[in-house]
Amino acid sequence: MEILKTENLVKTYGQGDNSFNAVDGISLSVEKGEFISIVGASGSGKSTLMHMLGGVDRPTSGKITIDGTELSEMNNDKLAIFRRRQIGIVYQFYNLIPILTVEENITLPLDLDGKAVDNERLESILDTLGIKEKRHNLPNELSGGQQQRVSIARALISDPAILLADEPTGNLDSRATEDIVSLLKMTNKKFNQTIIMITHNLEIAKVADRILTVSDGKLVEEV
Amino acid sequence: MKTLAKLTLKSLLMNKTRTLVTIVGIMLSAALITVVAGVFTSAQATLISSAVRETGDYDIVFDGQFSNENIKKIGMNRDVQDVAYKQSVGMAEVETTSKYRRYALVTALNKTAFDKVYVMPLESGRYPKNSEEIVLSPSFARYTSGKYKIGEKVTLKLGNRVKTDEDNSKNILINAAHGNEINKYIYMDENYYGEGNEYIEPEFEKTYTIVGVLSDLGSELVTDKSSSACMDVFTLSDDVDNLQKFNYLGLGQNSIHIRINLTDDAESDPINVITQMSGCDADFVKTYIDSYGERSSFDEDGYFMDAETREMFERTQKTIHSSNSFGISGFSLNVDLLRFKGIGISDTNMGIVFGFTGLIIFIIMASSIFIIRNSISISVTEKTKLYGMLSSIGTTPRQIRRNVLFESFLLGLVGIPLGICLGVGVTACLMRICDYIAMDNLNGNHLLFSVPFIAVVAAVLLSALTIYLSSISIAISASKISPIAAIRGNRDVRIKRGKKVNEKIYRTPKIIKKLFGTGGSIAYKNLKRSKTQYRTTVISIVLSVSVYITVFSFVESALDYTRRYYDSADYNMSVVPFSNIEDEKITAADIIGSDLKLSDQIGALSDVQKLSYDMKTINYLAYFPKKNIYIDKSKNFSFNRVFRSEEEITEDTFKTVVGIMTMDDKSYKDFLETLGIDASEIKGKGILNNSNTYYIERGENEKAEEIPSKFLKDPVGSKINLDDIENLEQNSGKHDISIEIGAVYDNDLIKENQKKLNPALTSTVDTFPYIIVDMNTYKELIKSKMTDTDIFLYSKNATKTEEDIKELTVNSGAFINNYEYTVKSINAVVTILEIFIYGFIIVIAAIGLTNIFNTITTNMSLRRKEFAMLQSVGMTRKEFRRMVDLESIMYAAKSLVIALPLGIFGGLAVNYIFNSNLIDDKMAYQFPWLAILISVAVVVCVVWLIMTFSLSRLRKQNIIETIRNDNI
Repeated sequence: MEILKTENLVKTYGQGDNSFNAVDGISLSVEKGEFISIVGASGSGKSTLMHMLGGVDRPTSGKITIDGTELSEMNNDKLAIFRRRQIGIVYQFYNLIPILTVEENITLPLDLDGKAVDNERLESILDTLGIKEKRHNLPNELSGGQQQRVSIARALISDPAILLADEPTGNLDSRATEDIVSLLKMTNKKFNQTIIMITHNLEIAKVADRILTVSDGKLVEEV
Repeated sequence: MKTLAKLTLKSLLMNKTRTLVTIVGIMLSAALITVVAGVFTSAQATLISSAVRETGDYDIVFDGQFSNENIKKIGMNRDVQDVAYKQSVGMAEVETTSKYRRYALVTALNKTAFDKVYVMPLESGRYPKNSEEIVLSPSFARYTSGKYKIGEKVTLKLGNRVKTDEDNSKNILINAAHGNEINKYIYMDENYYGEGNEYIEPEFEKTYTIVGVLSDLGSELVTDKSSSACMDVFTLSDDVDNLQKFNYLGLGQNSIHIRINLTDDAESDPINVITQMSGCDADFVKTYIDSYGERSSFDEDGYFMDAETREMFERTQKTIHSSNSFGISGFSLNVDLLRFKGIGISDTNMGIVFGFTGLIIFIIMASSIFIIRNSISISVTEKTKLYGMLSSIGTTPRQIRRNVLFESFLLGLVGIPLGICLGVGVTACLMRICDYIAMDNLNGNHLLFSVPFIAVVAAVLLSALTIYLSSISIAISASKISPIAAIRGNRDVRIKRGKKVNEKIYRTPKIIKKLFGTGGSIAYKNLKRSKTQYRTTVISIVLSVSVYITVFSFVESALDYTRRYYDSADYNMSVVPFSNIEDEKITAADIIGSDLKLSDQIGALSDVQKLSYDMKTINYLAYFPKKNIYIDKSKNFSFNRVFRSEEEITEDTFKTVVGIMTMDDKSYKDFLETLGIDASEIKGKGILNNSNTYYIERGENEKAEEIPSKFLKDPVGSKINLDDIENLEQNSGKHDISIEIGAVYDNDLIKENQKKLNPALTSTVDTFPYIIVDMNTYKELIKSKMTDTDIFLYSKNATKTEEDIKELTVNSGAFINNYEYTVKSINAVVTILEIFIYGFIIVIAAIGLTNIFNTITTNMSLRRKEFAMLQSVGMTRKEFRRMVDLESIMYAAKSLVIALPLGIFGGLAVNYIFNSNLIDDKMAYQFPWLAILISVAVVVCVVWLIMTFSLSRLRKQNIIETIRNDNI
């Protein structure tokens, strides 16, 4: 089942002679449960593509459809609601809310939705990501790797349509990197979670089912 | 360091809003200091100008025997700027229209005296240019009915004024107190009765050309003395080497009177100058100057009241004269002018003004320091990462400190000059506005604007000091930021966990969740777990609000005190009808009846809006048995020790004058109401003021101790017998009046209820005992014609009412006092004070508001990454709004809970400190209800508005840009 589709996605920055297309007409399709890596050099447009897929940035033109819903027609509030229900985002620098504990950070999307926490799912996620004992800790009491796990857990809690990971290991040491990548893989398998991961590291990218290469804003290769 | 400086400048330019707001805060603070200093210097200039206008521009008066050499020597003294001298020439008989004024008194003044030292404005013509010309005083012109005109010549036969005594011996009427200066103060009583034994003994003749007439607006030298037989004319003494040419009467050196102006340097210590020049020591000089009042009391013949004082005075003169070579035998200061110049003569009022100004500046500086410090602290917090990074690459703590101070310096460089200019401009406007308000109520004086350079320099220095003190502690903290803490960028966030695991600490109260949703829940956790940021915001609000409330409560008390002190507005006129007591046909009843009739007539005048009157007699004596008098054993005095005059005490009685008073019906009713007595209880009886002050004599030179006490032990129900003083010799055992005392009152009751009681009741306080009765009782009892009535009224057109009353009393006569002018002046003063005071409060509040604005906007700005994250996770606008709502409420509530009691306590403390410096009337504490209400409303609204405004700006940001930028 197709979970994500883009049609001729374009993102233009600047005006007139100074304008350029960071994303230049990308069309792609992702099936549910797929693990996709998007690779490309710095400035290729992969992050821009990711942000549009996550609904945190709007395309200049083109369509994005996630689980049958077209993002371009939504206003900011609707997009926000859609994000917390259907999209999980993992950033390179974790970006946890400093005043919330691990558990609170994780359950934040559900809180915002006014939904009760599925404790079984929560415990499962905490367990899977190995952060159960840290549930009452604040982010400033955790290592980098632990914080990234929390970030992944937060992205998973609402059982989103897709999980987007933007250079999730970019800020971690090699051991933590291995851990995170394995976790993502495990998540994909265990929860049948659709994952789209951006990385510049081909080795990491290989864990995915498919590798898409972006260059100069265009999709140039699919492996 | 150059790079650091560039960084600082760049950071200031990047955060335009915060930089601007901080500059505004500095500007307001500098402006306020400038305004306070400027108002003080302007007020001082105004007072000095009015003193010069009224008493003349001089510092010291020297009495003595001054030869030409003496005067030149005095003029050459390095501390002396100008010497003005006045020399008596002689008196001459002139034809006048007044039976009291008979003589022209010719006085020669030098140019400095005419121009500067004596206030002698011209009505017409000019001042004399030589000793052949004269200018006439207004009294001369008036009493010679225009007979002498400008341009005309007049020949005067000048000499001494001489009186023939009963034994036919001649007596030149000279005043010993001023050496041999011709006495003009003796008046013509003897001649009035036609005895004719006073005349001028001419010594020489002189022809003068009249060149001018002086105005009535001159000083004492020029004004008409009702007690004087003389009318002044003035000529110029144009050559100090040739003063002898005025020595017609052989008075020589003794007829010269000197006033001097000191140089600016010397003026700061006139006592020192007098000490140097007179040859006497400083203590002697001070004592001598302080006893000026006593030395000036003369009897009607121009001699001292008693021989002892005169002898002491002459002895002192000889002592001084023999101590110096200038010829000085006495001296005094122009106290008013020197006091206004702030020159250290002990004077409580000026002391209070200086102290008060200093206190205000201190309050401004203290609040500004806190507030500006906060702004700088916020700036440093924002740059924590930067300072940590700088530290990690080798920047020394000293360099970081200097960098923070440099930032403050830049802000001050812009803010202070702007503030000073604003302050000077505001001072100029304020003085103009106040001058307009005061209008004609300043006796011809105007409010001047004067901000000397030194005041500006002082304001600049104080403002710079304020900024330095604000920044130094922050600079030191910034220099201590460790690289790691900074780079980690961790906010000071923590959870207070106990030893045991407690799930509750992680929960949000249900009510918060219910009312404010997830947004509120996040806000709640933010405030609980991020204490430092919360604290900074709360502290800044607490500071602003508590200072505002303290200042507000103090100024409300001060204004109330001023209003009460000046006691304005209830009445603006008073009338005291005359009675012809010498007419034997007229009885006490007639006098009372006619006064009552006049009161009714005045009350019926169309412009009279309010009227009350009192009637009293102090012509009765009472004898009190000693056993009835209250002696307070606990105060350790015995009967014989307490009274000043032994005549008052016999073996078993104490005699004293007792006043009997009545008043209009309404006043009497108000009085009874204040006492809580029913009229029926007191009918036909009197209400006694049972307060008394006993004096316990101490040593010979010590002031007697005053002890307030009760007068009689238990007077209610007893009868007091009184005798008419006029009839004392005729009485034998029979008393003229007997009054039963129905109730008592004391001085405190009158003092506390002054505003609502008849003004005359105040005169029954701190004096001999008074008995108050109703009008009927008064009419019945009082047979003495020595009864006086005071009528107090408020008229909306006092000038017209004065004319009306003059008409009503054309035959009987009355003393009419129209103090509408005074009331207007007082009201103008109070209005002016209110302008300054409320202006001050507004600026303090504005400084506080800029502080709150800065703190909150920066606070929000520091959390922009957090807000971006929340947006990316899916927080809607509604949730953000709820978050802001709860945070606003919590900030406001916490701040107010601390600030309100602090402000109230601050107001009480300042009130206490101020009152401990006041001798008599204390300033009542005014609870700052209004300030509290305003603070609550403003804090809640402002905090909410600022947070909403900041948030709306942040929400417009691009989520990803924000997150990314903050991660770099």
